[in-house]
Amino acid sequence: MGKESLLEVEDLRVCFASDGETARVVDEVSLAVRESEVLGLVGESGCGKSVTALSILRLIPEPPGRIAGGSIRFRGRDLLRLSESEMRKIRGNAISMVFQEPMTSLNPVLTCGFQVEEAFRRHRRLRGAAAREAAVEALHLVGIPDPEARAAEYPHRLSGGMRQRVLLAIALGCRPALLIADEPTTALDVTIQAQILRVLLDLKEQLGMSVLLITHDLGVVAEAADRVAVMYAGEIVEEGDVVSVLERPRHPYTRALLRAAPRADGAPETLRPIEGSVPDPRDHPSGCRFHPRCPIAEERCKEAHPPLAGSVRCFLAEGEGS
Amino acid sequence: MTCGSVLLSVRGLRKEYPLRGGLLGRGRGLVRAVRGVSFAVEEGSALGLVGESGAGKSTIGRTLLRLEEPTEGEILFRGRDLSRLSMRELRPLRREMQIVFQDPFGSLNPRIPVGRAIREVLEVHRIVRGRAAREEAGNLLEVVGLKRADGERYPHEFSAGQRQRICIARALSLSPRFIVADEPVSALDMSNQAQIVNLLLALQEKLGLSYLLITHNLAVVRQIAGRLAVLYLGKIVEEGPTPDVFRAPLHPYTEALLAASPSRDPRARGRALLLSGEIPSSLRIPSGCPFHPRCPRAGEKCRAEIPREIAPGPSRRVSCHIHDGGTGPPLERRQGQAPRGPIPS
Repeated sequence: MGKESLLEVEDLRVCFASDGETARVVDEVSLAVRESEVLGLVGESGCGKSVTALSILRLIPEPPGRIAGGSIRFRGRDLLRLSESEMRKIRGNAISMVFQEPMTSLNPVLTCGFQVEEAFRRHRRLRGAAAREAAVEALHLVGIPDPEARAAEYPHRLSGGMRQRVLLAIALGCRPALLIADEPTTALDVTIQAQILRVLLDLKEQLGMSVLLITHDLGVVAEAADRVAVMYAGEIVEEGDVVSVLERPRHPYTRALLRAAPRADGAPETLRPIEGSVPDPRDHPSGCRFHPRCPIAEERCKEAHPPLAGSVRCFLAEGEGS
Repeated sequence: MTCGSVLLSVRGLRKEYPLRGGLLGRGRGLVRAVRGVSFAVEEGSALGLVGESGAGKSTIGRTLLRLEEPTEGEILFRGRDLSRLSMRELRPLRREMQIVFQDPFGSLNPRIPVGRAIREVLEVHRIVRGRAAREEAGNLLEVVGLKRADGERYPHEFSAGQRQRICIARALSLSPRFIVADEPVSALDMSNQAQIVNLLLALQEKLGLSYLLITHNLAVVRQIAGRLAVLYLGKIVEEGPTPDVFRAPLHPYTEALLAASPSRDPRARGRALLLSGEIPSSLRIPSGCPFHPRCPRAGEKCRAEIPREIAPGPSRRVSCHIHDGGTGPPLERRQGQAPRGPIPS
């Protein structure tokens, strides 16, 4: 620990306008990704994880979205103050992103090689044979066998796992300092998921990059993350190093997530789902946003909004941060 | 959970798809999706069918309901061979077997309220009509944990987990005895997965349902299914009681699947045994044991001979040379390169 932060998000607020109402999808989120660490961002669907990620790259569609406040400092520069052309120099270069859908993230009418080359043409001004060579090298880097042949193929010829590798090659081609990976393995078989996570972690070591890993799968977090931030209803509710959070979760939501998730290791247990669902961001509950679903909520949880104190946002948090 | 009597028994099931194309539409090959599969589902129990995408799991599920015509084999449901029945004879039996799909977005018509979607099933099968159908649809929504009034709402107004509940309510509308659940929770996040898993268990208890649970997620299988069959390239490579298979997998493929499932223990990180390569195309099945190009323990015999199925213990079976006289000298592998795709035979 004690490493410097590469990315510091502070009090980020992102709103979406819908039917004349405002949805506060990300609400005063602060998080930091340190040099060469993997930060796992977890939570149920609809908690604001992906919107947080897209905001960092300023990829929120405006309108209806709007970054309403806060700062996103990357290597000391506030990305929210950069012009669109300055931002374009950063995307896919110093910060890149891979998405969940390996099936729809590639253009079906261009060869895989061409799509990998694009990053080099744009950010490295490589042309012709030099760009092709760089693309083949990137495909090799992510463990695609016979990269020269694969570069000439169209995406539909490749399996889901291979397509996800191509997307990684595109993202990592320019050796980003930060990779944002949004559910990168969710659509894949467990065997392929394990391969992709391994490639990701190996490359993280090799290239010394940092990763913001967004997932709802606590198994993936345990496998890959150094630190974890748990998000609920647009807010960070707990953060800490991966062992503390998974072994001694302090927020009732984190504990509930852990009890709900089926696992393939350890003794089988009866699953205890979290009743109800994530609140509508147009109408967050009063007080603690988790109180309507919280098994231990008290009167004060309905009234007052708990601050993020000692890395957990709960009046009744168990244990002290370690 | 098991009551002993067999509800569904599948014997020697095959499904092949000829590939046509090229000049004059001549056959260009044969996709052998299901290559001789036999299994049984007992009354009131659940069988889990696991394997990677491309193993043939969904084809089996669809073939059981005759949504696909089997190429060969018997599908005995309560003693009658479904594969020989005409569509008319099949219809009353169809009420007793239903299917729930992975994608709760694609399975519901976005333009009709969900209550009507359930009502239509009741009316098509002439169970009840009109007011009584409306009443029954409301009951079914309550059975799956939704409100009667939700019947007036449209699919987009529900979360993914709620939509899957609606699909289950619709499957239940004909009071089936058997449900094929094809990746019922794979599109859901963890807490929704738990809700649907618990719902399936509660319905099994309450209604005495039997399931064929198709999934690639071993964590889900062990919650629901008493028995587990592992499918690789259209064949069952191992079957047994789920706890036994988890405790002591016999086939190296089962072992690899278990090892690849992420552990919740961050201290155990990186211990996963990585399975190299990907499942080959069912157009070109490798020689010998079809798993040999990816198997860390493959020997010469595995490349040459198809392993037979043996029963190494009570109610277990496995097809692997390791358990049947050894594998012979280890296969030579090119160092540093994952074996990939089929080895030409």
